[in-house]
Amino acid sequence: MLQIEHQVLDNTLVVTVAGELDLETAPRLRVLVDSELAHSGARNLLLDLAAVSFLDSSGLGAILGRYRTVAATGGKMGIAGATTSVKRVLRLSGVAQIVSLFNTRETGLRSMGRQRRGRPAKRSRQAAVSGVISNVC
Amino acid sequence: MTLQLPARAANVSLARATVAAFAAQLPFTVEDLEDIKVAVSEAVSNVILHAYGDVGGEVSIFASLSGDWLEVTIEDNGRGISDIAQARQPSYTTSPDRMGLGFVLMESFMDGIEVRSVPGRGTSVTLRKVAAKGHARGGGKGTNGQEPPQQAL
Repeated sequence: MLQIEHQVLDNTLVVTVAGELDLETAPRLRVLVDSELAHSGARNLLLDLAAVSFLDSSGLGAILGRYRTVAATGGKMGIAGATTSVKRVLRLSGVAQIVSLFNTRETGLRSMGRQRRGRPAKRSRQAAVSGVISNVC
Repeated sequence: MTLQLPARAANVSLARATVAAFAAQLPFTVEDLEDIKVAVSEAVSNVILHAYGDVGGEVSIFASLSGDWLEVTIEDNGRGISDIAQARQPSYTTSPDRMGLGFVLMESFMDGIEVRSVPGRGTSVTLRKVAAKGHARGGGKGTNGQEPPQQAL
């Protein structure tokens, strides 16, 4: 089972994925992201994987393929909210060294360059630190 | 435990969930069970992608427990692998969408892996994992000093 939602925020396609990313479901992610990147003209891609409970090499392939697509046009790509088990697969495969990992969608969007209005300065600094730590990990 | 399924992508989830549920009889951690699911998913996906082509076929999964050890064999009667060493090389793949990481993930997440194949007759992949902390990878002993189960094939 895989559920996918998407929206464009400024210049970033935000794709929220829920369920398991494997041989059966990864093609759906691939097709949808490619289609939406082409139609929306968004330059950046942020995958929200907070609700992804499983990831194997089929899912990794879909993620890395989208990275290549985005990178080819000079865009940025990030992954937000990955669980511990998903992060293990991302790190072991080396994908985490290529695609930035963020604790939350918010920190990921900040990194993509989207600025939110009305946020207290202190909270903004905390979110920025979280984003930097996620980027380093 | 024996599970026989059509080699279809829709069955990969069922295969890994079933093996993980079976493995849970041993004191594996949650992380261990996730590792087992990934390894089984990779092995079964390999069968679906490479064993039968468009003809289709079945994948058989045999799982057993021995002391602290889980042993899972994923088997097919497909085309086989002509060069196992090459197939196990990181990044080697005939399926570019998977990055060639199937065997890398299996080897990383399990404590032992054995691949046997006869071109034209089929392939079996045996995965082993011990449910004990402080065990040595690649054939270590469980908490009771028990050796890993003898290979069945």
